[in-house]
Amino acid sequence: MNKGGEILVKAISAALREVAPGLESVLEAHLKATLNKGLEVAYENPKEFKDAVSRLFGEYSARLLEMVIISKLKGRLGTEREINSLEELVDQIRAIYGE
Amino acid sequence: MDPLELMTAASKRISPTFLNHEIGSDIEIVLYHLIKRLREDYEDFLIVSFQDAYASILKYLKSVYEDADEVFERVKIISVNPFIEEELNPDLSIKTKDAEIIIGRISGYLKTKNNTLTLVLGLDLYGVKYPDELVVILPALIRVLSKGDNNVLVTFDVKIFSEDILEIVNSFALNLFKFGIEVKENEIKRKFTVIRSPFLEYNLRSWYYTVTPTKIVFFPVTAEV
Repeated sequence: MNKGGEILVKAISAALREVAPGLESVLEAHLKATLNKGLEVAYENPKEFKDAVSRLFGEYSARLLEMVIISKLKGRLGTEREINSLEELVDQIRAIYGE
Repeated sequence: MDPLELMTAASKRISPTFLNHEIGSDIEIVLYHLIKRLREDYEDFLIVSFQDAYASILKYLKSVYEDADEVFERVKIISVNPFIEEELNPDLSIKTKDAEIIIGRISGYLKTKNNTLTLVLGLDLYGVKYPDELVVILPALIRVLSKGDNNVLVTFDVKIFSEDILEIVNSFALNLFKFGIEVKENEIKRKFTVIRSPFLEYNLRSWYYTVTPTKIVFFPVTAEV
């Protein structure tokens, strides 16, 4: 996995531990079963990740998790730009790491 | 009374009602059933949606229930910081993080609305994005919405914020219901608890619940799910 992907996966794990303790393994099992992938799919295809999360937890929970992930990483990225979605967050990370 | 009847009756009697939830508790489904029971009893139905919360919930409910559009039809929408929610043509769109401006705009729009069922969605999303504004907006919002015989329902995720914030949030709830989860070996058990309601005999009672295509089934906590 490349650097940007690693950073995002760590942020997702941290967000899940914080706001949905116990659900990280449930989500990983769901991603494995439906996409045959792990959390790294969030970096490879953010929309696919969001769709998988909303199928498992519901759309609102998916949005909530998305916002927590953004808030966890936004400070670290040092950007003043408004980030409203996981897709925009991944674009920012890709731009920073040139990936 | 089963928990849905209890929430319906409690919210009619006193307001506001807070539905504290966490990821995985299927709060959308609970809202659908609750709104379906309540909306006929009120002249107007208003949704105050922060950060696209209503759009998210509606999208999910439409994928689950054929009559979701019907249940939420003729709703008036106040959309705070919409990103994708503009597609729903909100009656009032507010784009600022400033809590006082948001309250001023909402207050001006509502004037003296009465006999209204009001659903506040996404305060938690707003609080994640603008943590300093949450404790400013909450009391003011409750004050503006809780007038006359309005029924105000507020959803709020309890896992995102510190105990201090939760205490502040919960202090505004006259009815307080909690939708939590328990995870055991990749299996999620959903649990409903009455924290505070006017029906004292039900307070601090819990039920596990499962969601079926047509209803929510509640089991007393002592029963195996």
